[in-house]
Amino acid sequence: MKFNRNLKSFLILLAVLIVFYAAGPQFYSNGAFFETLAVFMILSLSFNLIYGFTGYLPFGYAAFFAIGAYGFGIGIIRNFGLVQSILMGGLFSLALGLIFSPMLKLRGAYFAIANLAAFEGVYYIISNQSLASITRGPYGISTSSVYNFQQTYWVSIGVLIFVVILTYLFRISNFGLALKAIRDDPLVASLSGINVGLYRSIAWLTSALFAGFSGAMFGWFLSFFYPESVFSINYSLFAIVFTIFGGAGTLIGPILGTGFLYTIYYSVGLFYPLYFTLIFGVLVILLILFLPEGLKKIISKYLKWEML
Amino acid sequence: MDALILYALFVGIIIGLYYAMMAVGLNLVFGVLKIINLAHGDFIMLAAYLAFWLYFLFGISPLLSLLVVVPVFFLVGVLLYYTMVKGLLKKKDIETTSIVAFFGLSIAIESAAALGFGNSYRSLPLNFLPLTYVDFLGFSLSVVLLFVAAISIIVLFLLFYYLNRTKGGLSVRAMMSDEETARAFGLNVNRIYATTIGLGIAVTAVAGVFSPYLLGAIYPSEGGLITIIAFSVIIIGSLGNPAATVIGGLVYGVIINIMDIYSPGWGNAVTFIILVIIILIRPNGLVGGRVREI
Amino acid sequence: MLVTKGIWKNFGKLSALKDVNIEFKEKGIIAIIGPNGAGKTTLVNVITGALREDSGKINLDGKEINRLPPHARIRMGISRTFQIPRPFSNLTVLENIRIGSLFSGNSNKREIEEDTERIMKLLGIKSIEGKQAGKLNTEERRLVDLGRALASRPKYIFIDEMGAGLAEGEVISLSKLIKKIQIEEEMSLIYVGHVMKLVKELESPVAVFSEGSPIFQGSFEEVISNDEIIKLYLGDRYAKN
Repeated sequence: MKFNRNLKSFLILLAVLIVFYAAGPQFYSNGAFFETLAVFMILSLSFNLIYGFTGYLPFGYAAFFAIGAYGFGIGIIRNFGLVQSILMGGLFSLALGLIFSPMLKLRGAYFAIANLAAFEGVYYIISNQSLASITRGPYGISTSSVYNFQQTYWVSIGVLIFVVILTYLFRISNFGLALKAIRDDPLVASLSGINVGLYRSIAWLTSALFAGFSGAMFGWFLSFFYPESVFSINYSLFAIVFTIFGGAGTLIGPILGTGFLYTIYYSVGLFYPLYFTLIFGVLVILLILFLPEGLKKIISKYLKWEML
Repeated sequence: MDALILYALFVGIIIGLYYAMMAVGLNLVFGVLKIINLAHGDFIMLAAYLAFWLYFLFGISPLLSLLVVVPVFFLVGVLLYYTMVKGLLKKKDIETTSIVAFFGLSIAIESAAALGFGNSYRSLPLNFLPLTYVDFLGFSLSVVLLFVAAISIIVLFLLFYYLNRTKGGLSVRAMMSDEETARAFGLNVNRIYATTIGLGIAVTAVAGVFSPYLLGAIYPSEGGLITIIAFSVIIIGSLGNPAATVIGGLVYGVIINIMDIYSPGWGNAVTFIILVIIILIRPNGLVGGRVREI
Repeated sequence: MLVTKGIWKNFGKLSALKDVNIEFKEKGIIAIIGPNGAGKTTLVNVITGALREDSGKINLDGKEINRLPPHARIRMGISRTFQIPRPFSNLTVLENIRIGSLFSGNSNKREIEEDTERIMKLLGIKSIEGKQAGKLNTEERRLVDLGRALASRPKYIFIDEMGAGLAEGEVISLSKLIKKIQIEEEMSLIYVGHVMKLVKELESPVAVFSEGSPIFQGSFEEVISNDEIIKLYLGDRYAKN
């Protein structure tokens, strides 16, 4: 049965991920690599929940990531406690998602521009001098009081596992089926009894929440960051490229895309970041022109396997 | 009315004219090809660098550099059409696909510029005109601003003259209002598309040359922000209607200038919030006669 | 009973629906015919909630449903097909039909599976259940569209222009299918279109629309012997008087 096959693929994937993250640092003792890899996997998977399942492409997605880091940072400097601060990261992002949700009625160019403008707007608010008492404005936030790499690492892996499970549920459930239908034809979906607005909002908010958690993990790992270190359109670029490259709308695609491209980025690009953003930029153009479905397409064509 | 408000309004209109020129190319391209050029601001940046190097290496004044900049960027536009845009137009969902592709292009241009030009801020000289400041209502007003406003008026005039009064412009407008009929009349679609992008980017490049005087120093990653400002301007006017961009530019210029004078520091944040609100409640802009399906 | 009271719908200066008062009985077939632009499809759009009327009321079993969004109307038993069939092209045939049942308010898992199976068998599309709807031919797409609409267990189903472009033999088998569906699924079936041959085969009451409102109701024979309607369809010179 198809269901059992999906479940099998899912369990294998979960096992591979856990073994990879548990054993990886034993072979290559660069914790920062594995940590950031996990953070960007969470980010891509969260992005995939909105782009892959509903077709909305928020270019300002990095705003959720950044506000997640800020939610966490603000919690830490106010001494709200570690767990509370992590939750704050997610909730800040969720709240931002709620504020942004009227944008979902926009399509195409309008959605793209509104989203980018909103990203800039949030950046200028957070980095504003006059809010320095809350956000530390342009001076940046230190979370070094809670720095503990092992802790950050395992919590990040935990969040990653959680979002993997969530994506799997999106993928196999009737909810996911409804999202696919909405993506195909929102009017017919609505005339088939699907509450289009509600379903889209759920996907949007879930996506925002987990992007917020990935930002919180990043902020925790960095231990000090400026507005510019998290409010960078490059994080939108990462999420978009990794997801499209692997295969949007699947569970394995964003994981594969992040694993592959980020590893290359980290091993070579970190020393020459500009070359890599240049290459990623060109890659986006080539992907959208020649391989809009990413590895998913290649795998189904040559390996005859429909990616989970 | 007190002098400060009058001054703010006047300067707002002056810079609004510039914003109209800066954004109109984007709207022209969207109106004809229905593609979203997210790299728009990066062409401003590139043109500014070209003008800067022409001045820095050969001492060519910004005004004279237009003789080089305009044809070069027209060709860049034509090249862009044949290498990338033509392929995009074959896709199912042109709008979304083009946004993604141009997003990639924008990132690529910005990183290439950073590699090529370095990350330091560049500027152009104020003294290429005989006079630098005049007195206006007791405030000193930069002559360069007035000069750029005059250039903007000339460029906008030439563009609309071309669109409304010439045969070439007529075919561009025909494509804008009814592509199928235009095709049926045997218009050379590829040539019109290529010309439109070339023209759009050439006009944008003129704005780029003078950008140091209005948008601030030149640096490789300035494009993203400029793109969003350009979109604000054309959305305030009306997406797909280049003539309305002039109104969009003026409104935007006045708002931003008043914000700058009365509440510096919050100008950018408020501008973007206003833009999001305008898109949400009035997606067809202030002029927006032709309702667009979204 | 599904009743519309004084429905108006304008597009700019053009009135697509002018004061439409029409009743649909709980069981049986009725055909709505009329020339292009008479407002038939607009009426379907307004009743199903795809478009909002400018004024007027829609009542279902005494309850006003004007304010309800489309997805809520489906759950009250109002379903439709499309003039140009619109199945979800990235979903399989099976998934298309299941969606119709899944979101119609029925939460009984077994019944959803049963409904899906039954509808596919009824329409003869069981054999292609695994195929992607985007890869089907026009005829199959029509059936999938119809299947999705049927799977919601509608009390009222609007079938929009299904017979257009069919050969005579196909029209007869389609009319048989429509009748069979109505009998087996026991609903009120409203056929909307202008294929007269199909309307004749349905042997049902007919309502004629012209310029935004119903101008005549009667049997098929009454319709085709009515001078006004002949004029409407064929122009003055075909009228007997």
